[in-house]
Parts: sequence; structure tokens; C-alpha cells
Amino acid sequence: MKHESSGKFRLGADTWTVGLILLASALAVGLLDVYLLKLLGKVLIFWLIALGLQLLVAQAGVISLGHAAFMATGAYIAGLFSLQGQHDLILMLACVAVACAAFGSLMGALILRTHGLYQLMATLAIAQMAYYGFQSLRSLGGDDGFAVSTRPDILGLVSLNTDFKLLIAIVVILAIGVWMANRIRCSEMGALMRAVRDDGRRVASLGISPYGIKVWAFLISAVYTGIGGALFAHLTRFTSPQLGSWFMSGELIILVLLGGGKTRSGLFLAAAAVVGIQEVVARYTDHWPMVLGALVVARVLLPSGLRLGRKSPRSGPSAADGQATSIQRETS
Amino acid sequence: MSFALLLEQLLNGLQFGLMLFLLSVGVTLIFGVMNLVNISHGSLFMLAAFFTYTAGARWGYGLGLLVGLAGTIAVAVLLEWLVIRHLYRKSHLDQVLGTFGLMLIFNELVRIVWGSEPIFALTPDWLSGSVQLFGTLYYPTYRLAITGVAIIAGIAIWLLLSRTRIGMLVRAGADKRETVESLGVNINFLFAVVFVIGAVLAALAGIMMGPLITVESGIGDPLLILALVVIVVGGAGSIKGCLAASLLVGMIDTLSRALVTADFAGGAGRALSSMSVYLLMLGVLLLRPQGLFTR
Repeated sequence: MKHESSGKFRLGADTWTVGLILLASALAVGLLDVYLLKLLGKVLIFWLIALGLQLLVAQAGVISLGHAAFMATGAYIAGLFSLQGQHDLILMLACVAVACAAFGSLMGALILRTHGLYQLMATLAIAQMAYYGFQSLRSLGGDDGFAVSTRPDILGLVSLNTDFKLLIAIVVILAIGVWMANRIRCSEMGALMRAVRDDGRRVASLGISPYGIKVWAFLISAVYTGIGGALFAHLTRFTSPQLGSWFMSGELIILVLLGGGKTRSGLFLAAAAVVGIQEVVARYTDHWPMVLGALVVARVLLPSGLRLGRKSPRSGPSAADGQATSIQRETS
Repeated sequence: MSFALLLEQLLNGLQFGLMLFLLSVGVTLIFGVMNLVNISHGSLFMLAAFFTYTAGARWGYGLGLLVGLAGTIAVAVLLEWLVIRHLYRKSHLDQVLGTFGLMLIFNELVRIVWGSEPIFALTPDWLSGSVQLFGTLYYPTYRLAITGVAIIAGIAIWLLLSRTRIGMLVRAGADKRETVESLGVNINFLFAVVFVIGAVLAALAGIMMGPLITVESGIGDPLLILALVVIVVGGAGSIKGCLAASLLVGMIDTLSRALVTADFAGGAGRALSSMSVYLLMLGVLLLRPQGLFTR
């Protein structure tokens, strides 16, 4: 694919930037106070989730308004492990990954049978069902959620009982997440995702099922989001059905919209901006969602000429079938 | 459950279904004609309730009603002109997130102006009290009145769409937008008209629902999700489908809440009744994606 090789240099620059951000985060963990540590943790977790969503939205071209369901799933599993006195981080994350992979492939298999805006509504329907499901768990606090009081440890050797240690773990997990996202993107699977996004019929004519590729993309992004949710529950020491609300799904997709489809460092900036708006604006007024809303509206209304990348030659009539998004155009 | 109670719940379901219809008509027309999902449609519902509350408290219910309608129309015209118009040619992701952002802005604006505390919208004096339908069944006059108004509004929108020239253009636009455009119809004007029709009906629903629910920032949002369910079940752009689906969803939602007690299936009763409409939506999406009530 021509545009991938021409994008090589930028990809390299992006990798350097991501490496620097990770290194700076690791250093910052040692210097920041408790409040700022929490903030950094939130930014990093949203970055991790956005990395997975970028694969789904920008690479495979599927829009989901239901990913908060995976975030809540991850958070609830983390909370249950903590309640049951099972504190091993690796075992917990493995369970989250397996559960979200199962849930994600099921949801993907169902919703990908529909197209365009209907697909979006199908993700919303399933996420709403999950939301009400979590709300009905009365033994786990129902609508109020419950506290995740005990932090995990690694193989029983190191306890992540302080924010400092937890943040170090998050930075490490994030480094793995970035590396994996990179590998997927550069792999045959990644190339197939972009091919499916651009023209599913051509892929089908090569004997490869576009449906299967999209289900894989859905599964991968679900795992990223679930792990993000589990870490989020431990960072805030709390989980509730609100993590699965459709407002959260909207916020997650906004991260990809603001961060763009091409770079990983852009996603970091988007996550930092969204968390920053919440924290900084909230200091002066409770009305921070308004600033976020205004930012999103402004971003959407910007003329596409200001956007990165060139316009795809295939964005003509085929754009009407609801599969082509502006982000896809940025990446192609 | 006694027969009278069941009948009352059926009436409630019918009335909720009609309210959903008023809200969904706008969303389904905008979706069918402009191919845009307007997440901020619920905000118009909310704004109408607040406008009517404020104006009604000062100048009485009649004027409050007028101010509510006129204010919402003004907001809708402005909204269409400033933002929505620029979204028609954008991708679905841009459309959904753009209107999602608008919804966040409207919710916060309402909290800035009216505060976060819920307000209790007023009912006019002459509609308070209840009517004896038969036997032991008394039904609130107000609920009966808004059911009547909703039916009249439904007939009016049906007449407008099926008997007038502008209605013909809207229906044509929902079927084949490009053809209508190429016949020399001012498509921008047509879109604006559709948007305002939807806004008026949403405002009517908001004004009438106000006294039955607690009016606070964000009240339109859960209803908007139900409106999306209605669109999927009824088929996009179809008015008849929208009516049938609204009544179906309204009935299912009301009856499942009334019939399924909280302790049913080990505390999962409430969840099941909340999930029921989404299960319906998912089933329709997978088995009959063109909608239950379309050919």
C-alpha cells in the first residue's frame, strides 16, 4: 500500500514522540504529588482506551457508541477480584482480557451484521442493556456502585498499594499497549483492517471475510477498553454503572475524534485535553461538559481542508453508506 | 393486579407512546430526509419544558405554552442555521459527535440558567383533578387531556405530510433525496422546514410531559434513546412505522415496569423491564433491519 510506506517517516516521528511521552510520564510519576498522580493516571488510562478505539474506528472503520460497556465490565471484574480477596494484578487483567474478548466478539458479531447508523444504534442498544444489567446487581451496590478498596499486587511480591506504585504499573502496561497496537497496525491484520475500511468488496473478492476482520478489530478494542476500565477502578478506588453509561461511550469516541486517526501521540493530547478540561475548568465552574461540547462542535465544524492527510479518492458516493468517516479520510 | 389497574396502565402506556411519537417524528424525519441522527433533539424537548415553566409562572399557563413553543422554534431555527446545516455533508461520526456535543452544551446552559435542582412544572387549574371513566377507575384529567392533544397533533402532522405540497416534498425527500434536489427544490429550505416541524412536536411533548416528570437538566436524553429505539423498530423515515413503534415501545416500557415486580428473578426484574425495549431493538436490527412496520 503506497500511502502506508509514504507515511513511514511520520510513523517513526510518532513512535519517538510516544516513547518520549512514556519516559516523561515515568519520570513525572516520581515527582508529582498525589493529586497530580491521579490526574496523570486518568490521562494514561484514557490514552490506553483510545489506542484500542483508534484501531477500531480509524483503521477498521467501525463506529461504536457502546464501548463504555467494556469499561464497566473491566471495572466490575477488577472490583470483584478485590472483594474476593484475589489481588494478583496479572491474573485479574488476564480475566478482564478474556471476559472482554468474549463480550466484544459477541457484540461485534451481532452489530456488524448491520450497517451505517443502524450499526451505531445496535452498539448503543447492547451497551444500554449492559448498563441496566450492572445497575440491577444489588449485592454490588446497584446504581451507586461500590468501593474497590484493596489495590492489587504483582505475583504476591510487590503490592501496588500506593498511587506511586500503581502509576508505575500503568506506565508499563501502557508501554505494552502501545507496542501491541503498533504491531497490530503494521501486521497483515492491520493492513486488512484498512483494506476492509476502504473497500470491503475487494477484500471479499480476495477470499477474506471483511466481517471477520471487523469482528477481530472489535474484539481487540474491547480488550483495550476493558483493561482501561479495570485500571480506572483501581485508580479511583471505585466502580459504578455510570462507567457504562452512553455519555461515557460518547466521551471515549470523542477522544479518537479529537486525537485523529493517524498518530498515537495525538491520542495522548486528546486524553490530556479531555481530562484537563474536566479538572481545570471544574475548578472554576461545574459546567465543564459545556467546554467539552463546544470543543467537539468546533472540531466537527472545522472545514475538512484543515485536517491532516489528503482526501481519499473514494470518498464520493460511497461515503453515503455510512462507513466512510472523516477520520478514515485522514488516515488514508 | 386488578382489571382497573391494568386498564390504567394501558392508558398510561398509550399516553407515553403518543408522547414518544411526538418526540420521535422529528428524529425519524431528520434521519429519513437528511440522513442525520440528531442526538440533540432531546434538548429541544427539555428547553420547551423549561421555557413553559418560567413563562407560565409569570404570565399564566396559556401564555407559557405559547412562549414555550415560540422559544423552542426560535432555538431550532438558530440551531439548524448555525450548526446542523453544516453537518449534513459530514460523516456519521462527525454528525453523531457534533450533536452529542450540542446536547452537552444545552444541558449545561439549562443548569446555568435554571440551576441543578429539579423544578415542578405546573398544570393549569382547570385540568387538575380526575375523571371517573367507569366503576372505580378514576383517571387524571390532565393525562386524558394531553392524550387528546397528542392525538390531534398526530392527525395534524399526518394531514400536513399527506395532504400538502410541502408534505409531499418531505416524503419525496425521505425516499429519494437526490431526485428531489435535481427537480429544483430548494433542499436547504426543505431541510429547515423538516427540522422545525420536528422541533415543534418535540416542544409539544416537552411542554405536556413536564408536569408528569421531574423537569431537570438532561431530561430529554433518556427519551431520546427511546426515540432511537422507535426509529429502528419503526423503520427510518416512516411516519406510520414511527406511530406503531412508539405505541409498541411505550406499552412495553410502561407495562413491563408495572407488571414485573422488583423481586422478580432475584432482583433482576427492574433490569429486565429496562432492558426489554433494547432487546426488541436489537432483535429488529438483526432480523428485520428495515423496521417492523415497513414493506
